[in-house]
Amino acid sequence: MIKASNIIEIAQQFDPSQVLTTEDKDFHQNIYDTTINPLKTKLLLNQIPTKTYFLCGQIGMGKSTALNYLPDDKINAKYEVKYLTGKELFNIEDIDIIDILLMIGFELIKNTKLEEVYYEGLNKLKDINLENIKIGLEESWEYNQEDEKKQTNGINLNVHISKFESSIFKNLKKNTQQRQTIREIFNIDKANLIEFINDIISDYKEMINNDKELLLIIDDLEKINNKDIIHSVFVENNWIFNEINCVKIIPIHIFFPRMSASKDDLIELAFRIDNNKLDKTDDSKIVEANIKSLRELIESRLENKKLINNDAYIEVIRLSGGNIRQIIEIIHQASINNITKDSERKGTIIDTDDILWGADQISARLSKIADSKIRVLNQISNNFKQFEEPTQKDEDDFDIVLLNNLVFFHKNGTHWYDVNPIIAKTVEIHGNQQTN
Amino acid sequence: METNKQTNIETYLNYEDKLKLNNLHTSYNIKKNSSYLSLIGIENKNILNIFKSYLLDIENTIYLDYPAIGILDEITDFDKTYIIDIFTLEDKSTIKDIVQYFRFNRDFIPENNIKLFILASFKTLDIFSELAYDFVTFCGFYGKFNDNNISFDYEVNEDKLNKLISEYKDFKPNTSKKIQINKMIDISKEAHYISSKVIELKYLQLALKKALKQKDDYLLGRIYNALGNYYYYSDFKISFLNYTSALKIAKKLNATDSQIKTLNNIGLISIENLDIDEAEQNFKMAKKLCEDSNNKKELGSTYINLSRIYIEKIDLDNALIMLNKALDVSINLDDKKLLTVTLSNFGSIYSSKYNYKKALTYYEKSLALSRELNDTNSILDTMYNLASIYNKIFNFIISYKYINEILTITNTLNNPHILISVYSLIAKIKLISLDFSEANDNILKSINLANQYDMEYQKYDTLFKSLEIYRYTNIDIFKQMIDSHKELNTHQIFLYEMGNYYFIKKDYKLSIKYSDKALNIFQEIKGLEYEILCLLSISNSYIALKNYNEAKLKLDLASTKAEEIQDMSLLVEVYLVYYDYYLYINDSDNSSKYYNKANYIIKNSNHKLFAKRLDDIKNKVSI
Repeated sequence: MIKASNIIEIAQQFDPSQVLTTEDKDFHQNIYDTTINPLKTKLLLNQIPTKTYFLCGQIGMGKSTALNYLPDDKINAKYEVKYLTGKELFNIEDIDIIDILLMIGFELIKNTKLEEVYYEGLNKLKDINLENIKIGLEESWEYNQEDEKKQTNGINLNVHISKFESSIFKNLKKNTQQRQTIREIFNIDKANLIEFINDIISDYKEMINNDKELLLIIDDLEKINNKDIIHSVFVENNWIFNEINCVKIIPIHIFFPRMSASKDDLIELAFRIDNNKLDKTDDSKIVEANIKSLRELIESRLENKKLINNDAYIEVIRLSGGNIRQIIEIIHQASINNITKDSERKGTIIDTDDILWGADQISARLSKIADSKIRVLNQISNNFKQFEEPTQKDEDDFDIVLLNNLVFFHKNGTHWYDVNPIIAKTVEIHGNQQTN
Repeated sequence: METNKQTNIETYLNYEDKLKLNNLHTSYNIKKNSSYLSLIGIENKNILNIFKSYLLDIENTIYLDYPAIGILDEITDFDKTYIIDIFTLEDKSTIKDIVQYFRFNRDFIPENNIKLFILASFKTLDIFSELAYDFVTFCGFYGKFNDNNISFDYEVNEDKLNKLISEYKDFKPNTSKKIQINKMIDISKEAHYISSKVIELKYLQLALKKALKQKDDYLLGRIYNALGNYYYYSDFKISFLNYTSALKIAKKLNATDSQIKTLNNIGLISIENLDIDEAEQNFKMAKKLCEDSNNKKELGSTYINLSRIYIEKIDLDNALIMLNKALDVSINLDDKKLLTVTLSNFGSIYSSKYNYKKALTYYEKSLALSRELNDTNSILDTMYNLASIYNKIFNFIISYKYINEILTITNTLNNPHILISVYSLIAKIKLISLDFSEANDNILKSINLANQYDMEYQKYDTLFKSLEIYRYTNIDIFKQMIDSHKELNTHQIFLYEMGNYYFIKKDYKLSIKYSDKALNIFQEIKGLEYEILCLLSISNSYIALKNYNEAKLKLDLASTKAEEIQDMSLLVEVYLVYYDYYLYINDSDNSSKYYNKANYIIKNSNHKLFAKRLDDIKNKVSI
């Protein structure tokens, strides 16, 4: 990335789809000192080899960037940090803990000499498990229709997965039947699979041969937003993560904290530019510092800071609600508008009008869903918290407004919520109508 | 992303969508060397085909009609731009699956520098927003494009009217007078329903003559009410007199339903006469009678009328509450006629709130229902409202389509009421397109019809509209008209035009005096649109007098108000005066800023009159 010296470059640099990598360190502002630094300390002090940390934050809060910048010299000295991604294997609407275990193994051995070991091990496990199914069926043998079905299933397992190899993994996300079959095979004995994945981890460590602990940062799991899957994978099978013999950081969906009792290993990313509206004793200096950080974050991408006028800086920060991607989106849209309106298609100075236009573009994306969730939004707008006795619909709507960034969550002191500033006016108007 | 089909596609788009298309262009052009993602919502197959062909004309684009999970795997050449068409997906669960698929694979796009245009239905776009907001945040462009093509297939059904007339004509001479009069009233009612105003009046006058001889109160009550309805559109005084007579009779006959109807009608006339308290009193009396007699249908109408009171008091929130009550009644009673009127009134409120988008939605719903009911009167009124709104949002093509349809429908109906308004609107559109001769012809048609049918209210309305037209098309006629109507110099619109008159005569002090007088009245009656125009007029005069401080003060005030309501025409008016002002004080940065702002809207809306005015200012010829 280069710093922007004109409006076209601003539009290019403020690209909401681009995550900062370690190559872009001049543009990175560590705005999560109070969250990420304690996580680093925990990682450095950690003595539990199977430890798992869950990282949670709303869309656009900068989780990916924070994780890209997590490994500093000290972390790198203690850990071999490996980023894993599930895109290649997962179908987001249909994920099981078995898929995740297999993905960990697959991502570790991919393009290494361990590939053969991995597939051979899986095939052995498969054969053992299928044998166990067969024995199970024979032991309970009584000829009736139900058992015949079971037997048929057993035969089908063999038909669908004749042999584990890379091609099976490549097609996994498209092949529902195959995913199901694999799960059935390994669900027979999860402990065996865990043990095998731990063997792979040992082999991997041996292969890299640097005496460091392994730290896996497992991406893409935060994209699971089906509540049943989140519950099954991360609540019911939570114990499995703590059986995997390496330290892990897993970004996770915002629904998770309210499903799980355990909060010890949960790190929640939140950033605010307003005082706690439920706690009058809140320290306003934090807010001032945060606003300053956001301005620095914007300025760090600009060669010429005057390309955005002062009022526009203030307005974009206010409208962002403290959400990093929303800042980037608004500036991106504002600069597109600025360029489009300029007769020479070069752009002039970004002013408040451009920023408001940019914010309007983003709020238009949310308007339809905001209209349908006005009761919950009105409650948050007036009381900054969920209803005292929410109905099931309120609960569901509350999840949706959080998921779609219609509401931002803040966790300093008393937890509180606020309506996304770009839809605040709509909520005020519709809320008044509803009250009346 | 400059394609030779740009002009072609633009003919299909309205003003707002043209601006979106410009932004789509920019968003793509600035990302030529990196990944790009846009989500384009398409209203129907017609606009899909147009977009498909348009995007395919961009260099290096490939079309993928493969709306299935795994589609990103089909992308192998990362130098190309892919058009993924998922418009045809209809099943909600399939749409959800593909939306989730894109969401989960969103990082694949920037990681591989992929460029994507995704064409989807409005429904699919909404599902993206709801279920995959994180994917949506990756978009350089996200927007919906409407099809500007409107098809009309309405034909006035005059069968019933013709049948009634023929039945009346077939009456034998000895048929009872009462039966004859009732038939005449039925004819006039049907004529009213299908908007055949001349027949409506003819039979009402005949019926009145006979009923007076008969001294039948019941028939007279019906006739006076019907005459009130007829004159409601043309002469409030006569309308009021007829309603008052009808009310007297209804009270004498102790006919509650008739009393309610007439009280409501008198209230409406009182609103037109700006006697809001009197109107409110009548509506409240009607409401009480409805409640006492449990007349829910009329209660619905009364709620609509009470909403009018709140509109007049510029309390639009309470007006909406009343309309919502009317909506409940119409739904509970399954009364489609009431529902049509309610929806149309919602449209009017949102139009008053300058929320033209919402107004359009309600008018369109109302129009659909009116068509279902074959209610020609409502169809014409609503089409006229739609034409006016489309004109306000600079979508002149659609506005003109509605106008043409009104002209087709009224071709056989001989309805001067609607035609007076329609000709005025045509004159305005012709003025905007600098077709002065057509503008003059149409405004003249409007004036002549108003005079021909002696329509008091519309005479003045047309006069004021014609002043605006002639101010641009023929200064001499404009001056003559002002000179010959000086007796109107207490009317706010006339005062405003007098301000313009003295500006043209370069008597800037007198111009300020009259504009200021008009401004005070508009402020009092909360006529925001004219308030802004008066402020701009005053500002123009101060610029001419070189009193730049005062000019700026008025201009800033006008600008704040115009920005608040986001009315495009007023915004351009403001930008033009700012441009002129900054040229005079030699502030080139600001003058070019406002030139650009005005020019952007003008260019995309094809508003030729504004374009001419902008050029005139550029050449230092202020209007």
